[in-house]
Amino acid sequence: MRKVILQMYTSIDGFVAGPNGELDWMFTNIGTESESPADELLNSSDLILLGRGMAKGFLDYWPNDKTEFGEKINTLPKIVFSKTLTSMEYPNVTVASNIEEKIQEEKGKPGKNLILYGGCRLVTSFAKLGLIDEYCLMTVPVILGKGLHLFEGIDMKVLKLVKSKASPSGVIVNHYEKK
Amino acid sequence: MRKVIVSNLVTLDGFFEGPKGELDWFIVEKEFFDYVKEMFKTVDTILFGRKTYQMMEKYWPTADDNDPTITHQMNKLPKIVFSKTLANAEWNNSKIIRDNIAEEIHEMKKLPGKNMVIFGSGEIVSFLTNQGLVDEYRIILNPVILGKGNPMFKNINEKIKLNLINSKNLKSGVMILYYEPEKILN
Repeated sequence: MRKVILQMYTSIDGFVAGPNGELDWMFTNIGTESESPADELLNSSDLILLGRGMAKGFLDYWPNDKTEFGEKINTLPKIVFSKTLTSMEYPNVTVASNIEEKIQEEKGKPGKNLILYGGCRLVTSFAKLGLIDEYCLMTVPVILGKGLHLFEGIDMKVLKLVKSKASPSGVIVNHYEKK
Repeated sequence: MRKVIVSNLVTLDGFFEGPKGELDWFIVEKEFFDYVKEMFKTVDTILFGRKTYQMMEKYWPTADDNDPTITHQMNKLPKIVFSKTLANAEWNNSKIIRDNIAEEIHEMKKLPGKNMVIFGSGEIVSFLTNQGLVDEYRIILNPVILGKGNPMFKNINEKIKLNLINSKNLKSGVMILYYEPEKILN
């Protein structure tokens, strides 16, 4: 069955972005090494899941990226979750409002995995609903001190560490599964 | 020079305790105890903030459900608690420092001896982090999402870049990550 996979960079203190959504700390610290599991995860997926808050920035950014990775992002279908929008004027994008129904429907279809890129609130909703099958969390060696927190307010979850790797730049890439 | 080492269990979402100080999520077993015992060979002082000290002074003197070597070390080693308000520090071998924490730590680092370790004590960890006085962070990453709790780092003034110097995977899914601070970023 298709799995929902979360991919997220976090700081050592558990933030995924600065207080205003800043991601500079991430880009300046992960280097350009081909260490990121992003490519492998994307290759194992054929549907991208996005929250409305970050969707526009994401959808405006990627068409400018002419790398092979960018091409894959641009051609894959995407679902944006929103309670207020009914459509978005971007190629390959559909809008859905009911997370649980939509994910159940998609998981019932044949295909590769569903990759969840954020944002913060959508990921927290997914976690609350128990919809994340695999968590790929990449810990960047930075203390941010303040910022946006993932998983705020969810009930405690104990995960199973299935794979772990330290990259040369000191990023720890951990794959966890639902227990 | 003696190092100040922070050694704390934290969750994937960055908490070192639940909202009311809960530690029931700790995943500790033999490999973790081995790590603590190894560390105790390299330290001669434990540093605390008031809240963690008060919690531990209730637990350790009569602890009978923990590793005996660790229990013995916790009770025996010299302890320093930083507090303006704490009246007495009755736990064996304890001393209160009330003021000039940064200067006191700075002086202690110059003395001969082994390293100093901080357990828990989020406020002291954050204060010393801001002062640039922590030499090593050992983040004991538990495969747990708490959802709510108290962050280990609070009111940090500047972003801090760290260098990963070592990492250990325990069979329980816990990871011990060893970091040294590099420099203050802006």
